[in-house]
Amino acid sequence: MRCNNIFLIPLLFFYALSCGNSAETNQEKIRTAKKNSKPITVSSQKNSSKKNKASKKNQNSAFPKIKAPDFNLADLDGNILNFSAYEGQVVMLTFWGTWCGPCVKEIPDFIELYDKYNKEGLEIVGIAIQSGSPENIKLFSEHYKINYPILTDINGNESYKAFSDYGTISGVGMRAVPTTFLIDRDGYIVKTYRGARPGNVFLKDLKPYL
Amino acid sequence: MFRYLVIYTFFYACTCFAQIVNPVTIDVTSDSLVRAGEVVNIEISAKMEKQWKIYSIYKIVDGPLPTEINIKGDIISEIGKVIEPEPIEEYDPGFDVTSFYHKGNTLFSSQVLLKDDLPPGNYEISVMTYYQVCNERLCYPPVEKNNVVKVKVEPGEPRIEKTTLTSLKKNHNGENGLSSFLNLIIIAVGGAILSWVMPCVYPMIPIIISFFGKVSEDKNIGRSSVAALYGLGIAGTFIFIGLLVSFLSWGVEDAAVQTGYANIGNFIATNAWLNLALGVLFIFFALWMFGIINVNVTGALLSKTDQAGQNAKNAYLGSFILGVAFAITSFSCTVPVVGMLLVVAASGTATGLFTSLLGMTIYGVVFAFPFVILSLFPSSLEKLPRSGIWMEKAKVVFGFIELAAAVKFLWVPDIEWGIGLLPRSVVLSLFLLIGLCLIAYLSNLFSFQGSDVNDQKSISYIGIGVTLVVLAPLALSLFSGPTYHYSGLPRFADELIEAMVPPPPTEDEIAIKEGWYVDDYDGALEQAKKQGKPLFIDFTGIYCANCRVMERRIFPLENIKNHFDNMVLTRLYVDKKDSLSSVYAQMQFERYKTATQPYYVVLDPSNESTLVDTGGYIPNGFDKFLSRGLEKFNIKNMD
Repeated sequence: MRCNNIFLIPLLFFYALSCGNSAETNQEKIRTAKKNSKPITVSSQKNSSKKNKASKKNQNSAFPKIKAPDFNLADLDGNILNFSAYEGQVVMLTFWGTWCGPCVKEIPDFIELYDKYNKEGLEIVGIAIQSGSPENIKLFSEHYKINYPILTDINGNESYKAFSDYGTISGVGMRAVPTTFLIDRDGYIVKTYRGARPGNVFLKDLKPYL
Repeated sequence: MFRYLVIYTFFYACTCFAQIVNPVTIDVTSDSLVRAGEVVNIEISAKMEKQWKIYSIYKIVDGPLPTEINIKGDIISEIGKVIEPEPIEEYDPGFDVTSFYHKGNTLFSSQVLLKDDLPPGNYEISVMTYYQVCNERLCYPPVEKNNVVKVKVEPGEPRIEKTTLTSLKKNHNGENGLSSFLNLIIIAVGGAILSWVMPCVYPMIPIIISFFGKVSEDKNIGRSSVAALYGLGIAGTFIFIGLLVSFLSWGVEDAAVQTGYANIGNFIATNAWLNLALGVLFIFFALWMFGIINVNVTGALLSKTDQAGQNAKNAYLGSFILGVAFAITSFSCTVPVVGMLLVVAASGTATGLFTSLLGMTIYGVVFAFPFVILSLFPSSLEKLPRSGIWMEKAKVVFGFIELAAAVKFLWVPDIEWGIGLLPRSVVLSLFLLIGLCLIAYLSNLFSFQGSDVNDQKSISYIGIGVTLVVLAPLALSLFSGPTYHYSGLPRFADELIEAMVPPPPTEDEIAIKEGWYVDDYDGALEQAKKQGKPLFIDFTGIYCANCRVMERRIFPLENIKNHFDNMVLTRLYVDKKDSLSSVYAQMQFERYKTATQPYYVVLDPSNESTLVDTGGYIPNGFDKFLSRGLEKFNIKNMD
């Protein structure tokens, strides 16, 4: 077993790097601003080495703690916010899109969770990716009666960059939505969900952190 | 140990791969060896696992984004419709709609026609595919993939069997012949039924009644054959126009010439001389109805001689001519439908000929039907109780309507020649005046020829009521200066009024003040490039009623204005009688294969490629259309 672990570390490192590199080529295929793609790669490599350190440090714990990356995004009224706006709360950061059926299916559960636990310090933040103008998203969120804050691009493709950062650092990689990150009061990602989940799964997981 | 290493490497390579690559690969293939002027088949294959759904190109619902495929290349002269497999229909619990998608590996196909002056050599065609994929739990955000296929052009004349795009011109849903055939029938029959109630039609009705009334008095004339000839006159005119356009554009590949033929309909509706003639004719009819002028038209048609045999001959000829005259006078109201069928005819192919011939035949026959019935039984109308007075009153009422129609025809040459005698306000006042006279007549305040008018009170009251209902929106418009457009009307009333009165003279001036580039595509394009904004084109016409509705009612809405702020706007008229208009009409026909207005396009100024375009009149959904254009522009310009 020990042998396996020894092999695991360099492999992990190699894997993280190669992911970073292929992420770059993929980045070009996906519509992201060229000027953005370079910094992402740089940060992803930095992040992966950080992650490596983190995983070394937390080798014995089941879930290595990863600090949630910061972001710069706009709310639907155009105010620019970063992660510090939600510091000190338990945050469920969910990446979604107005064109994504499975994401929309999750919305009623988020609304209910937010209703019940916002007072106890739960913040749910939906980051809308490639979903058009803020007005568009606003109409959409009014239609589905979304009660939790929604963030989106400032004027380019910032939401996708944030998604990329979170995906790379948490190791889930990827680009599919919905992907939800549970972040504790100290700003560490404690759980990642790729794909839609029912509300009780989220509730069970976030309860201990409230 | 080594085994572990291999397993781990394999495992991580797999997860890494699976996480990063979008689950779809797009491969594009085409015929590789072709000749100039030939059709190239293009196949776009989207490869993915069974669990993934890629959404339908044509069956679009509120929710997942439809797939888009754009084919481009300098060597292409025409691009056919992209054909997709029949999509799977399934309820989407997230969006609460029925969604349409393809599952697993999906093959899209299309055809392009190469230019016929290509020198032999190697060329490229680029294919842009934009799509999102989802499975039950996840979606990948929409991505754009660009593929290039290589085509080798060999020397030689194009082979006949390879020169027709079979996928072209199927602009409506469905890929099989049956559904486009059904579509054609629906357009032709529906359009014909709509044309029955158009105001251009009923001024002719008293003439038909009196003509056939006279004819039926003569026992020697076969009533049914007269009616049939009359029907033939109506239907034949439409069929003839369809055939004429088809033959004129047969083998013509120059889009400019084709546009000219397809716009014959427009020409007839807007030609100054023709409208002047119609206006004068209608005033003449009105005076005749009023009994002020006493010309025996039916007599003239039947005149020459009283001999029975001759008489019958003249009656046959007369009814045919009346049919032709009827079709032509109704043309200015029936042109939207006829125009649509003419565009098909102008495609210059056998299919085009067949389709337009069929469409025009159906249209002509259906349109002629009630009037043939009317001509069969004119006597039964006359035998209605108190027929004499009844007819007299109806004739005068029709006379007023004909006067109004005359005004509608006369403002066309007035605008065309820039005389300025009949601006919008004057036309509105004239309609009001005519209406008030009609009310006065129906209230027995005056009469023509002192005829006995002391009966049928209830019908008179209904007539007065109807007239008041019609006058109300006209009055509201007249008192909404300076544009003389009252914006609080329901849309159908607006559409009706705009069809009847000239556009406000300051339309262009107002538009220019609002920042529109009116009839200045090049200026707008330059500005759009400079500002880095998408370019919005509004193909419009001075005589296009629905354009006015869009411009007045939809464009000023707050959310539309906000979208417009992020675009450079140009308004291109296609029916002004100047060379620019014909250039813009040609541009619309060449680029977008349509000749009807309004037509809206949002395009990327950097390469003039279409971001989104509409089928035309979309009072609802225009907001969405614009935001979609902006969105696509923003995404495109991130690369």
